[in-house]
Amino acid sequence: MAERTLPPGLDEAGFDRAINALRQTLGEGKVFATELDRNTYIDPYALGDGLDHAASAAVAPESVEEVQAIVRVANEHRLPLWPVARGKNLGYGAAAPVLAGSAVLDMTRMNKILDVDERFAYATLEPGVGFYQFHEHLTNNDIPLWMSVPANGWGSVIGNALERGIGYTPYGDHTSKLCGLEVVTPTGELVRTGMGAMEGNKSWAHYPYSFGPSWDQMFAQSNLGVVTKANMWMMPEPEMTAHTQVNLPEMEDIEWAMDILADLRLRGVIEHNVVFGNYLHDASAFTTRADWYDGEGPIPDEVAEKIQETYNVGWWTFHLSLFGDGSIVEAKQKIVSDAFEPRLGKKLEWRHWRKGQPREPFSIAVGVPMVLPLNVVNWMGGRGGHIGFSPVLPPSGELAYDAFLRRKRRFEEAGLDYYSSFTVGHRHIANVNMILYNRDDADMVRRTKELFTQMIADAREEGYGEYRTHIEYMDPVAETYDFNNHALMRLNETVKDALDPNGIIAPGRGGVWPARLRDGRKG
Amino acid sequence: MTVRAFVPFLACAVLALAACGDKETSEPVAEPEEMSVLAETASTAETQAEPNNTSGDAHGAELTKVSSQAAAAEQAKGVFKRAAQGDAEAVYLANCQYCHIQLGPGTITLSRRLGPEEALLANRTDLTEGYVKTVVRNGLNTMPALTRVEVSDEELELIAAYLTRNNNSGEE
Repeated sequence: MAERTLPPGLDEAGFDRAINALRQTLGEGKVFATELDRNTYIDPYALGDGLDHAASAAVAPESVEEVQAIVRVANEHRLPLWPVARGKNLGYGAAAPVLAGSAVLDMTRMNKILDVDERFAYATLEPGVGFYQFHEHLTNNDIPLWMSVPANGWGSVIGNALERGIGYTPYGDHTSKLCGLEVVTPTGELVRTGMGAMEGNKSWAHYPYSFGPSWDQMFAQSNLGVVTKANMWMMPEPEMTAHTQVNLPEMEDIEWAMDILADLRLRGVIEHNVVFGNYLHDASAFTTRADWYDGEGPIPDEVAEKIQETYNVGWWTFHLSLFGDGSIVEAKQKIVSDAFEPRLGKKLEWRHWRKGQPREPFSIAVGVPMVLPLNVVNWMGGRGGHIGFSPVLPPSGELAYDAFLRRKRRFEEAGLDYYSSFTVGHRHIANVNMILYNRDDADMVRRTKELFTQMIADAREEGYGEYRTHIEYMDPVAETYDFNNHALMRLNETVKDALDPNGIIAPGRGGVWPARLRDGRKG
Repeated sequence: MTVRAFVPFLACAVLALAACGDKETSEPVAEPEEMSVLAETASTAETQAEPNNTSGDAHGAELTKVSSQAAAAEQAKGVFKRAAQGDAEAVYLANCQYCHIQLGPGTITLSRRLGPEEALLANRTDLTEGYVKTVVRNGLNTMPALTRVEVSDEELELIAAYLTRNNNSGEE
């Protein structure tokens, strides 16, 4: 299917020498360079055939020493590597590299759960450990610690945290729960951040900053190293939880409800990321668009109402959870009810769980992994995909309503269904505008691309930038961070060139290119 | 513009699948009569479903809960631990349970394409080893391809053998 795409600066002979050197270093079973191998690394949700981000090969280490060896060989042969944890960054490019011809450094086989400390509530994991594997380990060993899991639980615990992914328990800001990394640098050196920088230090997983400069976030969404293990803080099992669903019938309701919600988040009454989503969420998880409507253009209002009736959701719906000791949960429940019920005109219905009972509601709300939300890719029919445009907003109802109207209008202009979440963090909103498309419909792919590009420009004009993006859009999104004539990019490039003089690790990730590839990046 | 009766049917059908899955957790191979019950349940659900069903049966949150429980029930049996020891069923589950479990995306998609009785991959009797390997390495529709790093060729042999274990003839 895919012709072999070579990385810039390497001809066939040079590339083959690099692959052979990797085979000699690692052994045959850890280097994957057949046509079939290359095809399996193509982004399954690509906007088009995905060949513009095709990998040339993959290499799968099983130890830290092998990671170091791979990086050294890559330096010697100028072979760009694209590190992935488990390669399940679906909607952002999955395992595919920004730079076509890069070899995927696939960490899937480094999947050891190195330590779980019940008393101090942390785990030390390799990047190949997946959420399901970790959940099995915790539950089968009766470890009273809860994970926080994202909507797609297929991926890596550490990989998700390094992407600044989120979950829906009070520990849902995953990147902030990392406490000490072990990293192979672009030249093959091994470093530990935080207190782990001291040999034998007993506080590596307890205090994140160490002495002097702290570098952990330098390795998040970055191309400055390969993380080989990390400590992750975990939530002690609470004594009790309470859960409720809030349906808002009108699209205008976002303005007042967001202000209440933001205040409850800011004051710590609600401690988890709240997905404030429109009516399409459940319908797209369980059905396809054709089940509801077979016309052109966005879904009409009548159909939207039908969907809301069927799934008992509002135009907007969100779920709230409270965690902790019983008296705290009960007190918070009263605060939340008092805040919302006067505007809703009805009582909130709460469900409760107490320690010792089967976990309820048994979903990502309480740290149980699943991948059900991936089903949204079937919404448009054909080989589906999704891509999210996710600018960060202040937690303001007025600004959220304004952003909603602007984004919805753009979706309608593109003839695509508006699917959105205003995910409410502690002090911000990540406004995920999810475009669902059919990869086999060239016109729909074109409209999706145009819509995404338009939203980048619109948001920049409004003073917003994305928190994370698809490999296709890393350059234009990085371009929007333009203070002082792109001073941050100059800093990033300076650091990149200092740490990665041969430009080996993930060229183009985050819009940061090494010197030797910088000139051609726009092309 | 037509809102099709399929919608409440699908919701009930997938709930029926979930019920079937409860049986599967203790008895991996569904007996023919169980499948008949499943089909009948789904069929009954179709005829009895009210167009404006908001009783909660079709509620997304409830369906979501079932989806999580199904996978967790498998994990409780030590899927990843057994897979590391070469147990074919566990190798299948460790790599495929994400989607091919009760109410997983793969099951919902197969229910739509082939009907609820064919939706649970582990219960199929018509798959060939060659077909399983082709789909795993190439993907199918919205199913992503799986790499040889994630599922080795040896593991794929075990998965293919597991998914064809109930075939009458077994040959490709």
